[in-house]
Amino acid sequence: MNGGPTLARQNERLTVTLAHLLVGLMALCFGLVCVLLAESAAPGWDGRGMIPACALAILEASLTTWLLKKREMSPAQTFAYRLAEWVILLILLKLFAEARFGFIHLADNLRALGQNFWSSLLSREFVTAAVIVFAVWQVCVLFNRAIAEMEITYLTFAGDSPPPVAPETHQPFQETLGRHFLLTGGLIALLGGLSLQADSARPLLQAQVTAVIVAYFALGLILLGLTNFTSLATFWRYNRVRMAPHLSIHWVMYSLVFLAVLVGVALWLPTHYKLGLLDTLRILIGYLMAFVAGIYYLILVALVGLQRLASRLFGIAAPASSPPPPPAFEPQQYLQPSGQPIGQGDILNSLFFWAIFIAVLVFAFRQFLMANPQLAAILRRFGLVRFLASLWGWMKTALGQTSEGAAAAIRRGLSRLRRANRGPGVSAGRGYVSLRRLPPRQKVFFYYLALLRRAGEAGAPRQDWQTPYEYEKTLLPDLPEASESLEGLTADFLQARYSRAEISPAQAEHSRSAWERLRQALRVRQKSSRASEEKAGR
Amino acid sequence: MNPIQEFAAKVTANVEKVIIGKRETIELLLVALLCEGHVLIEDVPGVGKTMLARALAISLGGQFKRLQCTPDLLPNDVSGVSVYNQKSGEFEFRPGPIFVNILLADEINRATPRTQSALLEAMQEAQVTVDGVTRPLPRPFLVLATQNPIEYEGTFPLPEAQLDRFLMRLAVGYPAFADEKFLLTHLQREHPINALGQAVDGRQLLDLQRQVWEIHVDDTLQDYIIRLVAATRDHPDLALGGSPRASLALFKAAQALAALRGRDHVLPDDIKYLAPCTLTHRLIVKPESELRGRTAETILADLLKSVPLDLGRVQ
Amino acid sequence: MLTEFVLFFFLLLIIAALLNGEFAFTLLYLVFGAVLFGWAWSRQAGRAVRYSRKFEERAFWGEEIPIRIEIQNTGWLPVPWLYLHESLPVELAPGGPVKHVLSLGPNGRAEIAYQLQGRKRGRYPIGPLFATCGDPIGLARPQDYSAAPDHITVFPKIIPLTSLHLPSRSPQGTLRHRQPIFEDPARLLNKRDYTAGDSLRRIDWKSSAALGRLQVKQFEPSIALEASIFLNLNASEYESQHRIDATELAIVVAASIANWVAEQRQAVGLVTNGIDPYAENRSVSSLPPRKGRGHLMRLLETLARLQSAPTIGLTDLLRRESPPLPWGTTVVVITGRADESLFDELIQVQRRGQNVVLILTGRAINIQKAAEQARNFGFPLYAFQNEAGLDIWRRS
Repeated sequence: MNGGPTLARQNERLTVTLAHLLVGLMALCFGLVCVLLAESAAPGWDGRGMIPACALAILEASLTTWLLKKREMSPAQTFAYRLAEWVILLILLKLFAEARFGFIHLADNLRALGQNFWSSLLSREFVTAAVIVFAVWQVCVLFNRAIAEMEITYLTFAGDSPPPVAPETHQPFQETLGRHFLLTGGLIALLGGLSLQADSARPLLQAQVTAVIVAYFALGLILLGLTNFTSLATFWRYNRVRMAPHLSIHWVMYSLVFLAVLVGVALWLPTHYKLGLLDTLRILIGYLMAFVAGIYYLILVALVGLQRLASRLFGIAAPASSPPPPPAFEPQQYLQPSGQPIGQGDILNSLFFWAIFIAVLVFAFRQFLMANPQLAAILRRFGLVRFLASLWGWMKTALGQTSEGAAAAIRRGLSRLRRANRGPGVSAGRGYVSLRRLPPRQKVFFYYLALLRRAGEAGAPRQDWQTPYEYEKTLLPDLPEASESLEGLTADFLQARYSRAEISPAQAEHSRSAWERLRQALRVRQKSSRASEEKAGR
Repeated sequence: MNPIQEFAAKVTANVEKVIIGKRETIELLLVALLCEGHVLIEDVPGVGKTMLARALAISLGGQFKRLQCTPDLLPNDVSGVSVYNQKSGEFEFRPGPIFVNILLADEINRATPRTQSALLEAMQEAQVTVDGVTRPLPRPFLVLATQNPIEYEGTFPLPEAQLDRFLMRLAVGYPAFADEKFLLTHLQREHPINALGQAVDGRQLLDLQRQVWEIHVDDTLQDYIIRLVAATRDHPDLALGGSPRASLALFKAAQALAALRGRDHVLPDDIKYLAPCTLTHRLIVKPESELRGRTAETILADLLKSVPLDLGRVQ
Repeated sequence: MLTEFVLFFFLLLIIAALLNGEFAFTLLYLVFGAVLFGWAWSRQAGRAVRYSRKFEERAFWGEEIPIRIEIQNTGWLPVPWLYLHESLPVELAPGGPVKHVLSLGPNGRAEIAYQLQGRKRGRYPIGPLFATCGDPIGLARPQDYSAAPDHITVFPKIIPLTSLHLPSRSPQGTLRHRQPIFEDPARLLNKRDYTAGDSLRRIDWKSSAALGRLQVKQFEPSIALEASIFLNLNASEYESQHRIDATELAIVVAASIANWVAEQRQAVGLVTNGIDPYAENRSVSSLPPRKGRGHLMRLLETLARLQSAPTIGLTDLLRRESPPLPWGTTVVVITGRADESLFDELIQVQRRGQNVVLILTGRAINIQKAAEQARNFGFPLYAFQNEAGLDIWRRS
């Protein structure tokens, strides 16, 4: 990519050719939607053969752009050229429009021209075809102008004598192309919608329209990616930024992956709903209320249970109270216009749809506010907006903390698993260990390693560099009530581990009882620390 | 109480008549004695380095000599010299002060580098070659060298690479308040070193040294020693890490310490306790790391808190 | 383009509402998804990229300093494009900042290597590294990140000296000396016949036996050199026109002398009244004479960071810092001019038993007069207008 002006020119040619190709395909999509609309709106109009006609117009538009760029023409010359071009194009189109139905039809039509020139010339087929071809041609010309702008920018800054002012990272031609893309996209969507409205009974029309329009947008996004690369590459080349050799290949690859994922997700996400927004909200609130009631019921049951246990322990006659009945949760039935009830799947689908729709709305609004800080400042003057902003901030923090906590818990779990499977440490060995069959020395090992594991779970893990005595010192302040047991078990382990002296079953038993006491102490500690954590959290 | 502990208790009690409040240092000196290793005592003047070495030497009995190192001390002044006897017409070897059981090389960094080198080589090989004849040094043979920290003027710092020949480097340190007060009241008339007598038979040491070899060092601890010393070799702040001699020194010292503390096995804490005095003097810190304020002590402290200790598994 | 987006959005809503076009939602997801995905992608991918610089933090003057920036994508999302801009000091990087653009795969690594030239002593920041990460489509705004700078110290130029003779009276060293006052017992020079009063320790028994009469060893005299360089960087004591050149030359001379002394395995120290802009209170603490490479590096690092400033005068500096130096120390004074008050102070230094060497750098005035005075007081004076002047110490 950094191989001097020749390579830069080759890249430029490749980029421009690709851009023209993409524009051509996009214009073809536009033509197809027009054809579908014409077929839906005017039953009997036959759109067969319109694809080659549109392709011809696209080819002509591109060729003309190229020719006009090559030969510098005056406005009068350009007008004359355009006129001649369209006369030829219309004649060809007329011949083509009539020839579609056979040469006899064409001969009849030509003959009729002499009798009734205007009505024969402006036949319904011909006019419709001419409008579609003109629209496609116009779309193509519109985009081609932006591409020519891109070409000029590229050549200006990547040439042998670039201007002294550095280019922007975002070029004006990107704006133009983006604008054309969105407006043409809007138009194509409108035409698609109209075609569906005009003939909703036509089989496969919905799928055809969707496929063509999605194809247009996918191609458009590729075009935007290409122009983005061109714009940035111009900036980098001008600023003598060293570009990695495979950057362009990676760019194409990642663009395609990006697009594939995007199109996949867009097609997968729900596009219809059975329940309106208000009904969906009502269901959501209903579920929330049921959840709260459930929690309340569980607490009541626990309290009644405790009350009964206490009365049994102290020999007091049990009160007559019995646990309240579980709260009834009957989801409301929603009916379709046809009178059939809406199923749970449809409700979930609607929930999903509205959640995504609102998320898109919020994101779009946020982007809009970010681009218009003045508007954001005005909005901030309102108390409700400030409240919503602070609520959003709180939710973001809470969500961040939750996800961090979850990630930390996963990391902890993974590291525990890893520790258990490798290296120096605290593992009680792999696989199943039959404690009874172990010799006394191994039993002492087992109890001490079990202590390490349990203490680690209680939040006082042994560092892998710590000796048993060092670890004892760090653990003692946490377990003052079990200090003797800890010292005893540590001493037992040290002897079992490092000396060759015989370890008696009595010693193993001593270790076991020390371990039992320590386990108890650790359990108490774990509970109290959890309680204090919760308190701190509150 | 095992014979090693008995021996140590007697020596400690005797030395403590002179050196007050330095039980840990005395214990480490005994560790070196039991390992047949030499000790470099490094500290500021006036903390009792020489007195400690003298008291130990006297307590052990045997031959003891003090070599006051000065810049004009020649290598031959240490090892000995062959003198021509005009009557017999032959060379007679006059052994230098190194031919003793305990040699106190006082202020070793005041001797010239060549003399230091000669002394250090003799220490390592336990023999001296003069005029082509190799003569073994008596056993037990222990060199207690003292030196002031190198910041003091008029000294020749010991060659860093040769410090490896000392088993350990110790610092005596200032006494605690109460100990210093005790010193003032008890040492004001006559210094007790003059009245100090032999506490044990130094020849017993050879037998005790053999007993130390029997102290068990678990496989995991042997691995730990090797890992710890290897970590010094790969450390980015060190130009020179510990040699296999360093691993051996730590291993032997740990055995001796375990024996002194009445155990027949070494604990990981013994190794960690001994690592600073047996390893730091063997480590050479890179100049740029020195500029960053890193010392051998801080680096080793970091390593002791990073090299994992395997506690084994249930099998 | 925002207006077009808004229009497009409303148009899609109208199509969905009025024309029952469910595909409008697909388009909504597609277009706004492109913005959202692009934004989320560049944000997540950019955050997961880690940068680390690998280089020697100290370099000698004139060296090529290779620097590597390791870039690692620690996340699973690829980074479509990453524009990196490393700010560099112009003193070391005449070509300006280093700019790269690259892409990284999931958990991918890349490396940028470039070289700086140690053309000027000093302490310089390397970086910060600014990074911009974006999505390939470009509908979302690219995200900016930065990595903190590191620092590099370029030591001052060191001119290798071969025949610098600094006077010394420090006994018992390792440098050969002509005066037979301080003999080095490790440096055998000769043997001669025994005369009454010779120490028995000096008798060489082998040669005595061979010759049949007692022979004693003669040793080579040696001295130790302990030099303390007093570097004057008080701006007012240099000619204002040539101050920068003269102070830079003074630093080069100081570094060269320090290097020579250290090469001789002797002790060298530095006392200066210059300032260190990177130090807490901008003051420089004196470095007492020490031996060793580590100490030399510390000294060179101090010299690298020094700057001249209106600080205390050289005479005050000498009065404050020279008395604690040991007897026999060589005090090398490097300054821009020598006046009466300086000579008065140097005489005091000499009377304390320290040796004085005076070096004037830059276009000092009244050199003849200063040289005459120095000769009268019995200490050497050297005057250098440029680095070429140091050639007198380079001839063997």
